[in-house]
Parts: sequence; C-alpha cells; structure tokens
Amino acid sequence: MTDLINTSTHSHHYPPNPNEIAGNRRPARPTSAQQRSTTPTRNRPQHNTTVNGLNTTAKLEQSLLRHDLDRTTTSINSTKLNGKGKNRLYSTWTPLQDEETNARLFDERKQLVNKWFEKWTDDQRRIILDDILAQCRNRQLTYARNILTKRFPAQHQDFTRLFPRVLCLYIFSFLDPRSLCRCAQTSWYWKFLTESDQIWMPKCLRFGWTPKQSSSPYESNVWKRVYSFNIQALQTMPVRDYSLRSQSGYYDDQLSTHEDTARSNSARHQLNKSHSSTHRALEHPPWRANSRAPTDTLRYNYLDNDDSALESLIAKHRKYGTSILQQTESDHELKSATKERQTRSRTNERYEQNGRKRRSQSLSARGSPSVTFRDEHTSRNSNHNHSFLARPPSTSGIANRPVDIPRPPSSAQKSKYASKTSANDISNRTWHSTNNYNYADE
Amino acid sequence: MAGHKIKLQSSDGDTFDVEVEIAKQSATIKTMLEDLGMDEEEDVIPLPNVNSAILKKVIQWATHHKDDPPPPEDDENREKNTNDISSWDQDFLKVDQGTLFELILAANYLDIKGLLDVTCKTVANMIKGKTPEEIRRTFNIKNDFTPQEEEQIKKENEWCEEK
Repeated sequence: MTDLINTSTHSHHYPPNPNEIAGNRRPARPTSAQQRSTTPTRNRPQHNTTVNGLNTTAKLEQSLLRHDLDRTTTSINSTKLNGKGKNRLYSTWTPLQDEETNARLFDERKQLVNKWFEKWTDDQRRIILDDILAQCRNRQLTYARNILTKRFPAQHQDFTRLFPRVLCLYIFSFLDPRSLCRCAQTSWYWKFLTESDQIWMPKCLRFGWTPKQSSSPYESNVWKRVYSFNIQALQTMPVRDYSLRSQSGYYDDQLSTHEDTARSNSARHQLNKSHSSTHRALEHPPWRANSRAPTDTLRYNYLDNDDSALESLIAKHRKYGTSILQQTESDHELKSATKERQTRSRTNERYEQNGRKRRSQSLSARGSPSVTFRDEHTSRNSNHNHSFLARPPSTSGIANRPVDIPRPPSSAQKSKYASKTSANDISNRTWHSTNNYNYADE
Repeated sequence: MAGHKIKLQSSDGDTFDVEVEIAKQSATIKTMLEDLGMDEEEDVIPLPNVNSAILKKVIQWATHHKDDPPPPEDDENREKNTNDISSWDQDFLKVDQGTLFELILAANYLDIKGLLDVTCKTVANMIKGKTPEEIRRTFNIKNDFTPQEEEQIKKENEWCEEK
C-alpha cells in the first residue's frame, strides 16, 4: 500500500511542485511534507485530534499571513509562522496568497486522491472512509447523510414496487377520488393502479352510475371515466346531490344516468330550491312508456308550429273576459301553490301582450313564426310552465291530467299541424272554431 | 384451552410462545392449526416470510386486540373511512416506512384483517391531502412522465380539484 502511494506521490507531486508555482515562497518544505503525506493513514486520526485544537489558531494565522504578505513584510512573518502554525500550513503547501493557484492546486490534489481511491481495494476504501468520517464535523456529516438518503431512501419507499398489486389496490381503495386523481399524476405505474376499475367501480355503483354501453373486457379505466363524467355533469360533490335526488321521488338513479343528471343540472341553474319540487312534477311519471310514434317532435321544428292557435285562444278569452289560467284550472281541478299561480299569470300577461301586438299587424303575417317565442319553447326544460299555452287544452280524452306534463298532441291536432304546412288559413279557422266549440260546451 | 401455547418461528430462527387464541387472529395460523390438527406443545409453526422484529410487533398488536370483535365483512357500498384508527394503533404504527410496509406484508401473509386494515389506512392517510409532488417525495416515486404528458394528465384530472 505504501509502495503504491509512494509511486503515485512521486509521479504526481513533482510536476506541480512548489518550484513551478508562482508566489510560493517555501521551496525547501516539500520533502517533509511529502513524508507526512506518505505516513500510514492509520496513524492520522490521533495526529489530527491533537492538531484539532490548533486548527482555529492556524486559520487565524492563515488570514493574518495573507494580510501580511500583501504588505510584503514576508520574510519576518513567515519565519515567525514557521514556529507557530507549522504543521498545518506547510504540510499542505498551500500557496496562500494566490486564489488562482490555490484552486488549481486543490483541483490537482483532488484528482490525485480520486486516483488513489480508485485503485484501493474495498477494505482499504472502508478504512479511508472511516478515517474521513472520523475527521468530519457535524455539518459535513449531515451533508453526507443527505447524500446517502437521496441515494438510499430508507425512509421513503415506493410501496407499489414492494407489494403485490392486490395490496396496492387495497391501500388505494381507502382513498377518496381527489387523492386518487393526485396519485394518478405521480407516475405511470401509479396512474395505472389508481385508475383501475376495481377502485372506481364501487364508487360509481354507490351512486348507481353505470357505463352506457357494456365495455369490452380489454377496455380499462372505464369506471373512472363514468365517475368523472357524472361528477362533471353534476358539478357538485356527490353526497349533496344524492340526498337531493333521493328526496324527490320519481326516478331511481339507475334508470336514468346521464340524461337525468344533465337535466337536473340544468334545472338547478334555472330553478331555485323552492321550484325543484314543481320541476319534479313536470317529468313523465315512470309508468308512462314512450310513444311508439312520437308526435311531439313536431313542436321542436319551429316551422311546423302553429302560433295562431294560441293567439285566437287568447283572443277568445279576452272576449269573454276570462283568463286562460282560470279556465284551465277549473277545467282540470288542479290545485297549485299561489306562488306558482302568480308566475303563471305573469307569463300569461306577457303572451297576451305578445298576441295583441301581433294582431295589430297585418293579418297575412299571422301564421309567420315568431322566433323569440319559439326559442323559449324549444328549451322546454326551463319553461315547462308555459308549455301548456302552446297547445289547445282538453283536446284529448283524459280530463284530469296535470296541466304541466308535456304530452304529445292528439292526432287531430297533428293533422292540423300537417295541414298548416300548406299555410291554409281556412283549416286554421276551422280548427279554432272546433276548439272554441269545445270550450263553449264546457 | 386458555393458556395453551404454541410456538411461532420467525424467518431468522427465533421462536415465540404465543397463546393459541391470540395466534388464531391470524387466519393463516388458524387454518393451519385446524387443518393439520397441531395440538401438541412441541409443535413449532414456521413463518418463513416474517422476521423476528416484525413478528414481535405483530404479536404485540394481536395481544392488545385479542378481545376485539371480529372485523366486519367488507361492504362494497360503504365509503371506507380512514379516520377510525384507535389511538393505541396510531401510537403502535408510529414507525418508519420500512417497518410499516413490512407489517403490511406480514399482516397480508398471516391474514390478519384488522392489522392489515389499520396499516393500509395509515398508508392511505399518508397520501391524503398531498399534492402529486408531495406524494412523490413521500414515497420516493420516480416521475417518469415527460413534461407534456404531465401537463396532459394534470388536465385530465382537473375535475377533481376544487375551483
């Protein structure tokens, strides 16, 4: 070992020797320094512990020395120092006054140490590390520890790499959706684990959410998408909405997943909480199946809609001094809240005004579609209250159905709509007259 | 059979005397005893997947919980709660991550549901309320997303964040 060191010291120490370094004032020292550097490393710690006390004074001396050297009172001071901080200062050959050479020298020595270290055996390296660590101060030890924990994180382990997948999924099953989404953003494997269907399926089923189509067995992450879709449709947290919907009876959640949530969402925007019960009453009761030949689709095509029917109806009621509202209410024996009545009569007035204005225009413009009116009607979710105005009441056989339930027009009405496409004024008139006749009967 | 003891041997050869009733919290040991009919005192049950330090902790936990009612069956529709860890368990699980993970593995191997639940909940609690970066640091997860992917996945999961 010492042989090795000796050879390498010889090969490496001589080129950058003090002789070459500008400003080094002590060419005579290298031999002793070299001797010291080649002493067996085992002896060093004791040596250093004795020196440790000197270290601070040596430092002081060092700064003093540098200061003094600048004043070029070198010879006296250096001799003075030779007596005092001898060990440290000369053993390291530090060219104290020159930053640049100092850095260069340090660099070379660092390389040298690395080269030695490289060639030592494992045992030798351990000895060196023991020695170095024994010399370290606390700050340096903390630094070393930080490096080590970064390399070997004993405290921070990725458990997904340790555990079988079942266990990881079991841990993730305790997490809430938000934490799961955050976990999915950490790495690919975590993303894969936290998006698996085993975790999300129970969360969806708790609210009765199912995917629209049955997924293929090769498709993954279906249930997370279902969950996020529904949550986004609700734009609220699940617990609140669940309680709201379970109060208001008709639908089991499982029957209508997306459509219903979307509707209730829009309804929430439109109606305040007091209205939500009326909104519920507007929907189809569950026992009513869809019509095989749906006829109410016509209403959505505004070109087919008949505006004049409403106008004449309103005109009739104005003539007799009755209101449509009273008529329909007595007709269907519907008891509704006073508040509802108010809003309804308000809309009634609006339509009456609308009709009057239109009538004051030319008769030929009668059947032309009024866009603003239709627009309100096509968004039927928000305007259920008005929908009964669009159709003549009691043309169908059922007497006491609730007014507000949207229902397809009767076949007679449908034929009128169909004939309306020819813009036949006469047919309109006959339709109105039959309608009026019905009213007169009642 | 109170007081009747069996011997459990850890992976590094240490044996522990444990009351049968305590050991039977582990479904693995329970079935082993029942199926093999190991009743004699001399019998030693080897547990090659558990080292002695962890086995000691497991026995400590099982001894404390020997009078607990059996844990309820998993109900899929029940929201799993992670806040119901008893204070004794919390203290018991104030260990470093390595020990905690080894406990989970041991609980899984020995099939002790109560211990497995409580340890997994502890890990879940370590994840909860942390940002992705904090989770990465907590578990030393290597981020193998490219910046573009990371941005994309962040966008995908935005619906879960509060606005």
